This record gives sequence, C-alpha cells and structure tokens, in this order.
Amino acid sequence: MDHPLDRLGDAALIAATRTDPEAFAALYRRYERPVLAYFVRRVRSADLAADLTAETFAGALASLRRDAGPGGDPAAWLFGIARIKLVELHRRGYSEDAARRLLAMDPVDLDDGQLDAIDQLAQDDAVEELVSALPAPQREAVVARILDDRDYGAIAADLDVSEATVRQRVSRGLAALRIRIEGTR
Amino acid sequence: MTTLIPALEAQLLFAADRTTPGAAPSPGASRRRARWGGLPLLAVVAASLTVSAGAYASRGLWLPQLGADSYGHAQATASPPPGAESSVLGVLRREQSDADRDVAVRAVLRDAGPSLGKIRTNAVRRLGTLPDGRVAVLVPARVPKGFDPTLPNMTQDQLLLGIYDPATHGTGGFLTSDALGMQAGDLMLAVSRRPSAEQSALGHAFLEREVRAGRLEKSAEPPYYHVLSVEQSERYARATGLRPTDPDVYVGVVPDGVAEVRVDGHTTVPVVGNFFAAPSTRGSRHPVVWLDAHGRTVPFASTIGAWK
Repeated sequence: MDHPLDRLGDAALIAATRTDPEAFAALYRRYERPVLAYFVRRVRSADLAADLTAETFAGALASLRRDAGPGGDPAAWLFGIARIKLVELHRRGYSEDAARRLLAMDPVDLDDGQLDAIDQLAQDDAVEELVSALPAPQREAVVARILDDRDYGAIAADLDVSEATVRQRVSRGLAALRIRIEGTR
Repeated sequence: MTTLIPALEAQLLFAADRTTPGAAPSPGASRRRARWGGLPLLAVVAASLTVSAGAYASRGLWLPQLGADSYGHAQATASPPPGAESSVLGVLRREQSDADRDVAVRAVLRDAGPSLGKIRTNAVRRLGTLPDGRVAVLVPARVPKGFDPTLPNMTQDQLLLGIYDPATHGTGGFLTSDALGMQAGDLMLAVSRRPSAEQSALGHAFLEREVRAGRLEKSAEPPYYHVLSVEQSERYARATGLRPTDPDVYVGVVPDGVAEVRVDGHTTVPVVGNFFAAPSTRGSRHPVVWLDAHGRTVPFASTIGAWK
C-alpha cells in the first residue's frame, strides 16, 4: 500500500512539502532510483553515487526551504540540482556536503547489498530503453535537457519550437518515464 | 515504493521535519530502524510529559505513514479505543495534540507493519520524554484475529508502547501480546487490573510458573492489560540500533488513580499522563508498588519478575 502522498503528482507533492515533512520523503522515494542511476552511470561508483544523491536531495530540501523550489517541472528541477552536483564534483574533485551539513545530516553507511543494488542500476539498460521508447519529441527534449544539460532556450532554437513547448515536452517525458519506471519495479 | 537507501530517506524526513515551519525539532540523523513485534527496549530514568496546545479532534482521521513498503503497512482506523482502555487511561481521553503527531511519534509509526492490523491513529499519544531524550509513544491498535496463536482468546484491542531514540533514530516497540506470550525474553511485566471493588474479588497473583503454563492468557482480556513495563536488554539494543543503556530503565503505563510508582522498595517516581519511567528494578527483591495521590497502595494483580 502506498502512502497517500505517493499518489500525488509531482507539483502537488512539492507544494505539500511546505507543510508536511512526509511529502519530501515521498519525493525521495519517487526519485531515488532515477537520481542514483543518473549518478552511478556517470561516476561508476556506488558509494559516490549515493553520496551525490544524498547531497542532491539535501540541496533540494534546502532550496525548498528558501522558497527556491521548482519554477516549472519538479523532475527537471531535481535533475538540475543533480547536474550541478556532478559539475561541482568534477570541478572540485570531491563530492561536497554543504547541503547535508546545513541540514545536520550524517553520512549514510551502505552495506554490500545496497552497493550492489546501486551498481546494478548502472548495468541496467532499462532506463535508456525507457527513454528510447518515449515519443520522439519528448525523447529529444528529455535527452537535450536532462542528459545533455542544455538550456531550454537553446533546445527550443534547435527544435524550432517555443521554449514553453520544450518545457512541456520535458515535463511530459519525465512524467511518462516515472510511470514506466515504477511499472518495472 | 521501497527505497534502496532507507537510512537516507529517514534522514531526509527528519531534516524536512526539523525545517518545516511549526514542526517540533528533532536532532540527529537516521541510521538504523527496527520493526515492531519483537522485544522491548528502553532507556534511563524519570518521565516528563510534553504536550503542546494544538488539538486535532475535528480534523478527521490522521493518516501518517504506517510501516513501509519494504515490510508492509498497518492500516489507519478512525475507530476510537474501546471503553476498557479509555475509561482507565486519561491520556486517551484528552484531545490529540501537536506533540502527539511530532517526528518522534511518526518515526514509531513507520515501524507499524501489516501484522498489527489497524492503528487508531487519532488515539496515538506521545507519553513522555526520558531524560536522555528518548520518547515513549502509546499506540492503540486493533490487531487481527489470531494475531498470537499462543493466546487464542487475546483481545484484539492492544496497546503498543513504542520508543524512539532521537540520537540514533532507532525505534522499537512491543505490544501486550509480546509480553503475555513471552516473546520478549528480557522483559519485566506487570499485569494490572483496574483498581476497583471487583478487583479485590478477582484478584489473582500470576506467578511465573503460571505464565509459563499459559494461564496468563486470562489477563489478556480487558481491562487487564493496562500496564506494561519493559526493561531493555543489550541484545535488544543491538538489534534495534538503540543505544544500550546502563542502568536499564523500567517504564510503564498505569491506569488513572496511580500517582506514583515505587520500584525498589524506596525509589518513587511520579506518574504523568499515565506514564512513568524509573530506574531498573532488575535484581531487586522488592515488588513494584503503585501509589495513589495520598501515598496509599493501589492494588494490582501481580508483578512478575524479570526472567531470562
């Protein structure tokens, strides 16, 4: 049985985080695997991926508390934070923990089983298969925005559509991915 | 949804709780969690009740997260506690407050798996805070029939005593049937009857051999489960992630009319909101004694010493 919050849409869930701490836990449950997969495919280390994931969600929580939550699609906002963490990793050479320190969070200890499960995300082609199964307009927008980290304006210019259209395609594509990912569990 | 890193989920929950406007503060971060249904736990001395002013009587059924996907979920129910419980426990008759829904309480409820059946969420009460910060929570539940096959006549209305440790975010708890069924190997159990005229007539001293013979089953009918006392063992502490305690603590829920509890012949601790916490009585040859507001002994059926 899911928690009632797990049945909310992303935007409603983000709104609920203002008053209900459980809503942020629900957001974590929803995006833990996609964010872990995003990192582990890039850094090839389960430990580091978990570290970056923790910092990403801590950063997201800190942003929400500063009223700096998503202006548009919540998933794009969350992956935007993830991208920033990845860029910072490459720039600094280590994973920062500023957001976790701000929130007084401790490092998370992982056992071998958890590390294996995270590693498995990197070896699992399911996410890429799911992305490739998206309708072409959504797939292009999701890949350009989420995977290639391009600005909405640049994507819109390339695709010869409005920026609003790109945002809509990214949003719908991510929503479709989330539903399909959950369906594969 | 089951997460790959439940400890991170728990940490984020607590961080979100700490930073939610109006939420009660909760120090530390999560590492390990334990499930209901096993042994007791506990810590240190003397209790203090912390209740804030807000009340929820008119807000409908409270729907906190019960359990987790990894081990299942209990259900929330709007049914109130039976009269056998609420008539003797004033803490159940007062309105639910903000404190009764705080992060410590919700942490305990996240251990409520499907085996517990239905949780009376609007009747959940934060009983008190131990000096080291641990929190005791009373969770009224309606457990499924046949919940404990060793106690076929056990009432389905159970009171669960949960403990949350904010330093480790360990949680644990047990319910009356754990004690009555002797599933808990290190607990000290006091089985009570409501102080009443009929009690003296029905008074029955359960001895350990009777418990082992299954006769304690009788006491599983209301109103006999209105006190439950637990001592923590190091084994349980290790199993749950709770801090080991030395000395152990002796905690319990007692019916209305009990103002103090004398635990070792001379040490007396106050009862606040039907809850007390006292130094361990392990090894003591003195029985636990309930006292009313005038210092008079309140009789109860029996105190059964700790066993291994």
